[in-house]
Amino acid sequence: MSVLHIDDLRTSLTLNGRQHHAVREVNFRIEEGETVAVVGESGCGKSMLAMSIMGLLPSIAVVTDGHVVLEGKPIERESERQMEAIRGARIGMIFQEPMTALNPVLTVGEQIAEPLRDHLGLSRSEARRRAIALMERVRIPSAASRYDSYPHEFSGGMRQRVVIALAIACGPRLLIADEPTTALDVTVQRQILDLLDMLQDDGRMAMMLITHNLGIVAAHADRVVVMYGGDMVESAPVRALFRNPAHPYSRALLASLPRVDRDLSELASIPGRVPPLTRLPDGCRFIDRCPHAMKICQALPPRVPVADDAEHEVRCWLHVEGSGRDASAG
Amino acid sequence: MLRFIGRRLVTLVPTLLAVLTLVFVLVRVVPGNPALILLGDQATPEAIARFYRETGLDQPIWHQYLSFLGQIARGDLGRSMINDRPVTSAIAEVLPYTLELSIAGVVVGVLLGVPLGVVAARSNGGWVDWLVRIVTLGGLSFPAFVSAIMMLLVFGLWLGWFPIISGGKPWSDPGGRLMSLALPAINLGLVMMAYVARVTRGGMLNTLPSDFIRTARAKGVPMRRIVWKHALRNVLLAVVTFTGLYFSVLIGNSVLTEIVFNRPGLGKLVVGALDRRDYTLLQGLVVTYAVLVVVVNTLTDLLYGLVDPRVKTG
Ligand SMILES: Nc1ncnc2c1ncn2[C@@H]1O[C@H](COP(=O)(O)OP(=O)(O)OP(=O)(O)O)[C@@H](O)[C@H]1O
Ligand code: SF4
Ligand SMILES: [Mg+2]
Repeated sequence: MSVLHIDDLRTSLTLNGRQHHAVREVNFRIEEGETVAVVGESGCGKSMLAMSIMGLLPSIAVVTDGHVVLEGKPIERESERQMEAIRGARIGMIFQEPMTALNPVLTVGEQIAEPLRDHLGLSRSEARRRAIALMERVRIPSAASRYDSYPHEFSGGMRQRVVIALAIACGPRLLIADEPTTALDVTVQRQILDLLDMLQDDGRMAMMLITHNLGIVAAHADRVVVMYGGDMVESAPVRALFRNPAHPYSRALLASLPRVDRDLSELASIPGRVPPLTRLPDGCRFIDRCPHAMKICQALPPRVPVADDAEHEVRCWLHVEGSGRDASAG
Repeated sequence: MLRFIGRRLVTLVPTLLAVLTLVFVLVRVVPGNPALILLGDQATPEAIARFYRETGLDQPIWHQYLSFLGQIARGDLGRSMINDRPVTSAIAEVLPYTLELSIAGVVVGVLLGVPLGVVAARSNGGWVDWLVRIVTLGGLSFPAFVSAIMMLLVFGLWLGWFPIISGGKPWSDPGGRLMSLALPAINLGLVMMAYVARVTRGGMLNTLPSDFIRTARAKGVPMRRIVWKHALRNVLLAVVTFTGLYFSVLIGNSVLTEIVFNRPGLGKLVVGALDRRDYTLLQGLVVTYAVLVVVVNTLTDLLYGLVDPRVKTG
């Protein structure tokens, strides 16, 4: 049983009275102990996807279709009560900006202890003990004496450790990390990612890692989901994707990286940007930038699954009817 | 924390000195000759000279300044020009009434204003928000003395819930004292409530979309606690700052309230002193207000250091 199964999820945003899909037909699973990276340029809907899972969408956004299945059971996202019971207990989440992610007027200890008291019903002193143990686990030096410190007394890297500690406090089955290291400098980045790896191995936790950085994907993920304009365009094991990218967008992503650790917020090999939600094309959303665009691409969005093995899915007309991904290369 | 308090108290001294100097200068540059005003414009030169000698106004200015400061340091504000009573005791007698009214007004303003602001922000644009907007607009635009008279009529005369003449009751009868305080305090607090509600609403609307609120939601904190603890704690910083600034306005507003409710207090003293041109009493009152304002500002800073952990380490 997968820890997480995203089943045909669609999330739409209401802008100027019209609905636009920010997430459309996303299908993937994350197994126990597995890390699935979600990649794509800025505005592809990665955070929207994460927030749809957490039930923390902005008020203008709503999940219109599909299910988030957690350990075999679809989440009833209508019930705020149930969502509160899931968030922080069965799904933990960490964010991009550690400098602002913690409440400036509450002690870090208090912030880590809070979910322990809420979800596990621990007493104040028991929660304190556990929180200090968690701070040690995420390698915060002299944890006991820093329990009563405030966030401003911590560096960015240390704050991210605090955020990780409170996200994993209740031993969640799934950890969603939305660009957890983008705001940190390179050495701290590596430490935080290694820490996440370690924590994941300890608890056989599943992880959804949103990132711009293909180097991080290569080093830390088992599988990759490539998103474009809200669509999942390709999903494959990391090695398969790096060796044999099928979707023209995935190829462009990889081609734009002479060095694997470069950031992909700018896509060098294909001009243009992700179109805004209000101007997404009806058919394949990549059509404006695709060097292989055909007539049919304009008319209809390509359907999945279209690939020769179940592990490697791609959503592109080039790969329909076994035309083969090699035929289109070039 | 103790060191923070100590430092803050030390900086109090120059502030007070500056304020006192300002009072000294202001009183002396106000147009009008106090001797002529007090003795009448038919006063003889001898009478005027005697007046100057008795009040020390014939001394060189720096001498006047030093003896002014010296007197204040000894807690002596001179004697009333009308009835020769020591100004200090005249003020000390009624100061508790004004303080008690002002503090009660702040309590009413904060205790009503903060929850109103929070529920308004929660409903942001909904009918609760509009209702609060109308109430606060009323609080701001309705003249305080009109609302005071209406309250007196309705709750004092017609319903008879509260005494019409307030004050006078000793603290040995706490119920009676509080009852007599209630109407004036509510009247004084309503305007402040309106401001506090606005400050709180704006602060909440700024705070609720913060990253740290998202973090709290992501760990499953119930919305109620997110609003009343995680967000409100941050908004209280702005409320404390506002309250400190507003307190001096409030002491001023209490003058009107005291008069309408016929309460003893600095307000009545000020009106009397103005009316009879009691120059020394007036000076003493200005000094008292100035010191009150400085002390309240210092207290605000200290309180701010308590609610904002980022302040005290610096
Ligand atoms: N609150 C919002 N109001 C309007 N549009 C929004 C809002 N949030 C997201 N969007 C739009 O939804 C789309 C997906 O945004 P999302 O934040 O999920 O992108 P992302 O892939 O996480 O990008 P990034 O890498 O920059 O974080 C974008 O077109 C974005 O402009
Ligand atoms: S479906 Fe057509 S436009 Fe879209 S990526 Fe494939 S070839 Fe390009
Ligand atoms: Mg994002």
